[in-house]
Amino acid sequence: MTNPDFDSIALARRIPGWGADLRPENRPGVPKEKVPDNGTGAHWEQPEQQITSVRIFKTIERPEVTPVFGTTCAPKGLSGVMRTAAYRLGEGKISRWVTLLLADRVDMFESILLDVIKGRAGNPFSEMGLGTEFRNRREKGFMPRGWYPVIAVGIVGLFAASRAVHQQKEKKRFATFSDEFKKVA
Amino acid sequence: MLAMTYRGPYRVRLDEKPIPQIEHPNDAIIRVTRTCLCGSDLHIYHGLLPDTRIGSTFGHEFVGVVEEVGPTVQSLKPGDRVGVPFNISCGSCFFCKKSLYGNCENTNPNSSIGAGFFGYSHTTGGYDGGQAEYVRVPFADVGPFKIPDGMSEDDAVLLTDVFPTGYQAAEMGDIKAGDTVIVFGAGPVGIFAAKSAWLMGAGRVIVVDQADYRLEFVQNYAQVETVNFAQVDDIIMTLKKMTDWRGADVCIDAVGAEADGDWLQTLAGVRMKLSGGATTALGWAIESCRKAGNVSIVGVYGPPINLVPMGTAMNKGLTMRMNQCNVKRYLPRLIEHVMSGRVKPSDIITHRVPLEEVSDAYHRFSSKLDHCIKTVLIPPKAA
Ligand SMILES: NC(=O)c1ccc[n+]([C@@H]2O[C@H](COP(=O)([O-])OP(=O)(O)OC[C@H]3O[C@@H](n4cnc5c(N)ncnc54)[C@H](O)[C@@H]3O)[C@@H](O)[C@H]2O)c1
Ligand SMILES: [Zn+2]
Ligand SMILES: [Zn+2]
Repeated sequence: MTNPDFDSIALARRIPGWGADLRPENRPGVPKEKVPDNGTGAHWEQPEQQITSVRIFKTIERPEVTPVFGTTCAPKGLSGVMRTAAYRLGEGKISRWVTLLLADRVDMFESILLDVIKGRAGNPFSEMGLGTEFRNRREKGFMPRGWYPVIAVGIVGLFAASRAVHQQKEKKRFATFSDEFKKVA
Repeated sequence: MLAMTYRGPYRVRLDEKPIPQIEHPNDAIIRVTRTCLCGSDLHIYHGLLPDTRIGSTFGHEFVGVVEEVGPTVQSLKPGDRVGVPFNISCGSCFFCKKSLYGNCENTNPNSSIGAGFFGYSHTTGGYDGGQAEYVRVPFADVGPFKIPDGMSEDDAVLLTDVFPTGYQAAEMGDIKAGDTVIVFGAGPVGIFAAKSAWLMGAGRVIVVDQADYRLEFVQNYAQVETVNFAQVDDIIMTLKKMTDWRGADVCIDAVGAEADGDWLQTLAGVRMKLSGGATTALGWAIESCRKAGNVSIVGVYGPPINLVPMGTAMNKGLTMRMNQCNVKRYLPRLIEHVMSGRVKPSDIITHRVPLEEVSDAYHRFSSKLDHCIKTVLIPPKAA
């Protein structure tokens, strides 16, 4: 205890529940290792084994696949090959984790490709939740209101400039076209 | 059914997925009625945890109604209102028999670092999570707890992770009457660690963060002192001065891998991924703890290496404790705290939104917009 002005009565008055779990007996995690008071709910010694047709990776630091596991998102494609390689390495090896992380990025590109082929590609703007960004930043006033007219003028200006360039190009094209035409005529 | 799916770093969306099936005789299928976003979800949302596969559904904090049970399930029946601890535990292994449910060795084939968790990558077992209309819950006789009459689902959903985790953080600090406790991080976990430090008889509780709105919230919610580390020159000096130059008796890391405050750590650990995240807050906890004090870690870091000032910890004779939360063992006592009104977990909820708005919800929470502390997603069938 390093706090010189500690006054338990004042604290108990000020803070609801102060000291309710001061006694170790009231702390459910003390001692750290403890046989559960009322059992765990398990009515088996060794749980039954889950069976699946999905490909499950097993760390080499375990003897068998665990009795229960998740079956979402089976490994596939190049990322699946990379994951297979990674799971041959022990968990103390940095290369195991780095390979898995790289496989995650490859998986992302593979999924984008697959989405595009299936015609299901999502809108990255909405997937990133950027709508909330603009709503909130505006409310927060991160971008000073004074900038709005400048931005508006900027956008209109850009539009006008691009139109001007476009018209210039058209004119040129038309000019060369009419020159050619004249020549032919 | 509708389910959130991961598309790559910073990208999630709502997709149509098949309703999960019973895959093991002790499984249950739960219809989700409330599910939260958690600071832990941010690590996988940002793509920091290896083997987070595209298309997987996140969500390890959820409550709901039992829809279907496997043939060996005895303690639940369809229609029961349940909460489900985020760790999946078998109840019968070496670790479960010692009440260390977060360390169960029968639920995660992919890695020996931890038990299986719902919706938290293949490194923790490859289970789809609860940010969906339905979720498969293995070992239904072990994990789920019936929500007591009179307890709201909003309170119950915070018992599936953050309140127990904050409580365990304080408990691992071995707080004695009158101790000075510093909590790093004013997110949901840090808020409950601060609250729990008082329950355990702390004499002073100081919370450190850089988000003023969170510091303001925790001042009111947990009656603590606060320091904004972004507004002081040297956070460790500031904390030492506040604690008679000696340091706190107990320091708690409730921040984890995405800590701010040290650009070098952020560059190496978060941007370049040369280590399992930035250990800035953990470093500060070690530096600002008094000699022979206790450092408790619940902040999550990635495998396999981290930059930690171990020499300082050793020379100071610190005791360091850490773990995933063993949620199940805390439930009876924490339910008492909630029912008696000593702690009202749902007060930290700042956003209740439809599951359909999941992309916006992630971005808001990740970027700390709109004073977000805790977001609850509500699937259409539960609204
Ligand atoms: N061990 C477990 O069982 C368990 C369970 C749940 C969550 N967690 C972990 O706990 C941590 C906190 O979770 P949360 O939901 O409260 O997250 P959160 O992201 O809402 O909160 C983290 C807070 O830390 C602050 N912060 C950043 N850098 C800091 C620094 N250097 N010093 C002090 N504060 C700093 C942020 O501003 C933020 O407010 C996460 O790492 C999460 O993964 C662990
Ligand atoms: Zn969580
Ligand atoms: Zn177990």
